[in-house]
Amino acid sequence: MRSPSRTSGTLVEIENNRRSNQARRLHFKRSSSWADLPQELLEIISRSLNIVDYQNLGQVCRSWRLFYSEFKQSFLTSHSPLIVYSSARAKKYCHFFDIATRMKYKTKLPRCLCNFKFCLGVSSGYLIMLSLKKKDVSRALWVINPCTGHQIQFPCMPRPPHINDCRDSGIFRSIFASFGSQGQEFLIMILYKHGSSLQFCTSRDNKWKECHYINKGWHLLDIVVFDGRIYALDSNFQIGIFNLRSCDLRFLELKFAARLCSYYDKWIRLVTSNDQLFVVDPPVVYRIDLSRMEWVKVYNLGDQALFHGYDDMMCSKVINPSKWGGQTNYTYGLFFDSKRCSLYSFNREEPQNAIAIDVLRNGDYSCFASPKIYSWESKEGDIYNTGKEDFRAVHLSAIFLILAEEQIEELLYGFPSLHNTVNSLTFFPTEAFSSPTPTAFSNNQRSASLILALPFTFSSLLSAF
Amino acid sequence: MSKLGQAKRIIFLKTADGQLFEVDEPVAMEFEIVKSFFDENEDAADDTVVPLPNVSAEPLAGIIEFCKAHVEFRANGAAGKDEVKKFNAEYIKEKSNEQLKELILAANYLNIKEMLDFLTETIANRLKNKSVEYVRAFFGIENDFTPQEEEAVRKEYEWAFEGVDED
Repeated sequence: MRSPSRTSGTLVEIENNRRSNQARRLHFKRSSSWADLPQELLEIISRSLNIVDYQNLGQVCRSWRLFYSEFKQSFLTSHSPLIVYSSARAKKYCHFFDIATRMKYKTKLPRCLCNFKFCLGVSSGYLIMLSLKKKDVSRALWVINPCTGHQIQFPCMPRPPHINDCRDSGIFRSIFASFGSQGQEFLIMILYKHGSSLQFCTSRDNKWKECHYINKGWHLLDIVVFDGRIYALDSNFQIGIFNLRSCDLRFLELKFAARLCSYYDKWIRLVTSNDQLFVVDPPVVYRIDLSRMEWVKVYNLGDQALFHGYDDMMCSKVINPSKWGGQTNYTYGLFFDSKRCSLYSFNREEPQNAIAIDVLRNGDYSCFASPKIYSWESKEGDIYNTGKEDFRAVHLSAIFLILAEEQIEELLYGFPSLHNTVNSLTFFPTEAFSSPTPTAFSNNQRSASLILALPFTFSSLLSAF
Repeated sequence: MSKLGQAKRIIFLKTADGQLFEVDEPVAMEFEIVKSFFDENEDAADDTVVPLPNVSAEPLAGIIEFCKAHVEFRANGAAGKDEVKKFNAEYIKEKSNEQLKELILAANYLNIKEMLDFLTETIANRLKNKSVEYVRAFFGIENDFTPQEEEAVRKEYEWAFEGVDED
């Protein structure tokens, strides 16, 4: 470390291994303008900015723009997932809520959806929305990235859902993905309720195809895009890969298949992280080890957290929340129409108190000034009655948007309903959490964060054909 | 750090414009760059002059004032208290934008973590919730985009998030 031959004398001549100081000397320039502020300083400054401020910073001048572009990825990965919601009173906008900082953002929804819109779900960072004109003449399915405005239109499916009640649209899950070598073609796939029908449409064919699974002794519970393939889970705990060309569902032979226990089919999910596939049967999590072809019960999420949506059309994701200060080895749960995101420790040793982050207070997103964190015993059945919420005023819907590091990623929590027919609310029992199950895996996840203004943020299908 | 019972050691710093500063050791050791100089030259004579070729006298005086106050705050156990906040607020109030820029560049060069954190936070606060035009005018930054570039940038943001007024 030291260079003993040099004692006193000029600092600039000291050779040392302290790279930061060396770099500092080499790169230091006497600058004349704020525009020339070194990137390392802009980087420190941007740590306390929110997404909107950061966007503005990128528009000030060329050198700041250069910084903005180079550091965008790392800026975004240091922010938490967003809960996305829309209110009946502001149909033009979609709102985003940052669970770590409690910041809110909004973005305009495209005009094409002015008449009537219904969100079927969220996939790959896109909202899947059905646009219904009043006379049912021009129905269409729109897939919209709320961050970039990128949108793709598909013809309406042959059996459009009943949208009088967004709690029961008949749609179980929708996924959206790109395929083709350049990712220039798109697929939308819909799993109908009761798992008996799978419909899909590609931008190449622009026609819907349907596969029926009736009288098979099983029905499909979930579909997901993972590692360039479409995976499906059925009620016999089998996992299969769906081939788009042959419409064939080929089941994998996996050892130690678990018996799924959740009362609600819709709670059971195929969930992906950056490179792993899970089956979530709340509160139990299994990892599907595709190299050893077996189910592995997960006792510890390590530095990951599970973000789980407990209703149809919501989606779930496993990510590393440590970069934005989230709780690792926790489940972040979001229920339909709940204004709260609830946190449960994945560790049996810890006291099982649920913590909730209020997304909205007093049923109105404008009354958002003092969000609080509540805590309570998870066994109490009336946890949703704490606080002073007026549930009648709730017209929001929420989804977790996801985030991701390298280019991709996905809206995490799908949540339906960009319309306002919700007036009765049902909450699911919390018994499922009274005996949370242990855990065990660790991996070196890349963490995820909201992707902003990246033109392509969908997952790619590599080998589904 | 100076040992108890020892006479206060003075560190000599020489700025780019040739000014010589005498600084108490604990204050000078706040400057990571000075600290590393002495760490690497343990046998350096007491009257060694540390040259700071990238810092001129004015910002250095300001930095010494800040660090001196903060070293005292820590010695008095007042770190993190209102007193500190008050001092920081007063300190920054007197500084022009130009001075602030010189300070942050110098603090960055000298590698003074506490001061750098404070200054960057101050700048971040001046950027928060401000329009692009305001930021340009406030910091005296010229819009150097060509009209085509500006159009492209604007388009990119057409869809971007907007902040939500808290009402």
